[in-house]
Amino acid sequence: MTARRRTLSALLAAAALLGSLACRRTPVPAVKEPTGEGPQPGGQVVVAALADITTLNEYQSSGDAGEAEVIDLLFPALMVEQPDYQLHPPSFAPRLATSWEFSADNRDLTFHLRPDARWSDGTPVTAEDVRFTFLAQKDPRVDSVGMEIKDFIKDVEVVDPHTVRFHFSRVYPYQLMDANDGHIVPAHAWGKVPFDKWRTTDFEKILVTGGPFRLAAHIPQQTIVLQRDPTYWNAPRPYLDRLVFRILPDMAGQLAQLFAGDVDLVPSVAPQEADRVVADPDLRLVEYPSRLWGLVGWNNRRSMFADRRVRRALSLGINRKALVDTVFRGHAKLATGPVLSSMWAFDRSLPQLPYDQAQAAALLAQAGWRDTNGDGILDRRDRVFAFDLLYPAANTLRRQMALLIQADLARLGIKVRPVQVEFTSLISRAEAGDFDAVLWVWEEATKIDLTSTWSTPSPGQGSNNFIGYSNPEVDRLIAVAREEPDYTRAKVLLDRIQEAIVADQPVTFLYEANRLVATSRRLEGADINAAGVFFNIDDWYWSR
Amino acid sequence: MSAVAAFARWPRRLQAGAAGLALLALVAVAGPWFTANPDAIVDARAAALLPPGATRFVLVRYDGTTMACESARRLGPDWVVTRDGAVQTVPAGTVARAGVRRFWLGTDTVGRDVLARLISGARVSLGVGALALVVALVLGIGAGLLAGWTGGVVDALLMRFVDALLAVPMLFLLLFLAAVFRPSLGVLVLILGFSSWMGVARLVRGQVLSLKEREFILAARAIGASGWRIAFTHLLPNALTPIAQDGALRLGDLILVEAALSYLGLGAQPPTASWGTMVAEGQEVLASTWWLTMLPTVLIAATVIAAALAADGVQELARREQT
Repeated sequence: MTARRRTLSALLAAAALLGSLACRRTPVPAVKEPTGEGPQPGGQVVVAALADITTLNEYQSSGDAGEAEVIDLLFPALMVEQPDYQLHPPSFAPRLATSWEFSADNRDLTFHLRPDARWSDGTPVTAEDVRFTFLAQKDPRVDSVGMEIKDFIKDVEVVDPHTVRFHFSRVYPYQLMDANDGHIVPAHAWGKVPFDKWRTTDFEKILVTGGPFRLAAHIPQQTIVLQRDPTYWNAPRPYLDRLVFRILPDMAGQLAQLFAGDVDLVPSVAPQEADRVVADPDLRLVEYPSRLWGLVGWNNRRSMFADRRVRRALSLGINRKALVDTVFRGHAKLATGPVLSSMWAFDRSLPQLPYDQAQAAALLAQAGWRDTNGDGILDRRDRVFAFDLLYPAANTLRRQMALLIQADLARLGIKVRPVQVEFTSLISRAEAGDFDAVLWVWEEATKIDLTSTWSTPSPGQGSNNFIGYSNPEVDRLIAVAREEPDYTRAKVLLDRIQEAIVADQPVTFLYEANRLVATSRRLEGADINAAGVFFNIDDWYWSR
Repeated sequence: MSAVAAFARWPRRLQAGAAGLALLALVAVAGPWFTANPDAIVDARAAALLPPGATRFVLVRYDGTTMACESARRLGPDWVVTRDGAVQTVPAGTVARAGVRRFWLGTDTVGRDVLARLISGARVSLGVGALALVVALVLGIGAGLLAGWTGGVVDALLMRFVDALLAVPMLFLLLFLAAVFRPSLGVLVLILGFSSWMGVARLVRGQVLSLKEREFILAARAIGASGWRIAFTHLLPNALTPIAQDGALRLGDLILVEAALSYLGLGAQPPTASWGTMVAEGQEVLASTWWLTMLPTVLIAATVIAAALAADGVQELARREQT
């Protein structure tokens, strides 16, 4: 599931607010049945989507957030990750599995599946499907995104048609999460396609689904229509008859249709448009902390940024609070360090760096940067302090940030040249280390593993540490923390890692963005939260 | 005949077009001396997206930052100001200057003066267009004269080369070039110039081919005038009208293409203002502050129309003088 992987999805969207994990909670028994005053069945919800789906097979997908949401509405998963990661590592609620238990040595995990789950062609969903899905996830010919998540699962054993057992090669903190990752796919239908053909097969032609909805129509680049599945185990839910995804690639167009009443839900509203949504009596704005956060990545390998005093001075010299308030208009928080402040592992005693140009100037002078020739720009050994700040083209928020950073650092005698770069070449330049500084966004997973972003990259291993940060002590602590099964003990280590990284300032931590979702006010029962827009889609209904 | 009398005899279109272009050029050249710094962020938070005509009390502080306040009052050792709806005090010792400022055309998304940016944008847009036109004319006239006058293999090779270049979809070529070279105004001028000389070359070659059989050219050759002399004293002056007409139209085109490239982020780089980048930046808030997009759009359109009128007028003038 996308929640597990750090992605760059946010850079793609103009509003920087894409991406989510999409999960669904099992029914809350307290909700009344659709008789009398309770939820009324029927109707459709029209959802604005930025892009069309490219596949409905999760193991062909590149992990695009919008695509993942549609897949989650169509396919079953063993459990539902809960949005409770503020307090502790996320817990899970039943979905296809009604219960689960670990063996005494914690190496085996047994799931009991609900007997009434059916695929859309009437075939029961069984333990065979779970095992088949695991084989697909592990198969190098399928080569799915995130297949390394299953690295420590040796095998999946079918105990009986409704009992399945996961065998782990080691005991570690994220066994439940890793077992749950990915949706179950139909063995009886898709097992006919050999794995080496998976990358090229059009699975929409042999589509068999097993969620609250099934695919009714897909008009490329226009609409995706999902129809209520009458055989869904949670009947009479979902109450809605249809979910219609209308593909509207530009944000302005999405909002225009929302205000006109042609669209009922916009999953990601730009912060500068939030006031207009709030002012409309027919609309509701739901706001919650997303796991997107923004930073200025300094190329630690370049001599200009190799000295941590200089990086600290840059962070001190940028009025980050004003920047975040200005650009996000109150819909983002100032970021502090490498763990989001909305997560259980966040170190609440971390100091927030102030805006202090005097201290910044002093640090730069210590590092040897002075304006010796009186041209207003700092220099050191015949080199001037001037650099390119890359940001993705056609991105409003990041262009504004670049301009504000340019103005702030100009007052310190640092010349910043904002350069907009087309998105794909921005990525390749970042990966190649071909940049001075870059405005970047990460989407954080609910699993806290700092290895890929903050550990020194080891050759031949994939890494997101494109800024070239390297601190042996941090490397050591991260390696220990990720193996620690007890999360209260892991927290102690994670606190020390956060302190070390904040002291090093390999990046300037800018903001933690809120997600803004706009819906029609008549839509009832929707619990839209950090676990996904469609988290409890089963319970949505229209008020009369 | 005085210059005024000559202007009075011009066709109406030429008068209107030339006057329009002259006025825009005047604004581009002289305007920036009379306006505030177009790249200065007055107050990103409290002065963003102000409507036209808004006034703010602006405090300039010694650290280089500025604050835009709805109201400000000196109270003993402090300024008591209302900024972004909140009252705050600012120690007077940190304030270098204070005064009321009017934003005639409002401010943009990061709180910069739109009027100042439109005027400095005129300098960029018209300047890039005009310089690119010079590059195109120099290349085009040179290639056209060479091809037309020399004829034979040189002509055939040059013209096939021109045909090949004309066959490439221009915007894609420009996008490619702008992506390869680091965007800057100088690069923009060269890219635009090098991609639009082909039409000039064909035009000049056509003129030369028809002129070189005329009696006065044959006479010039007969008395032994050099090729260069014939080209610059006889051929070129006689081809001036079509070149001027083509040049005026081309200027409009170049300004449009510059705007398009800047709109796509491949032209003028931030914080430099150009009309194209202003359209792109304004578009982000089109629904609420439409004038940010409309103002540069109107100026681009006005420039292109003025250029087209001038081109029409030149042709009309030539026709009138022939009869």
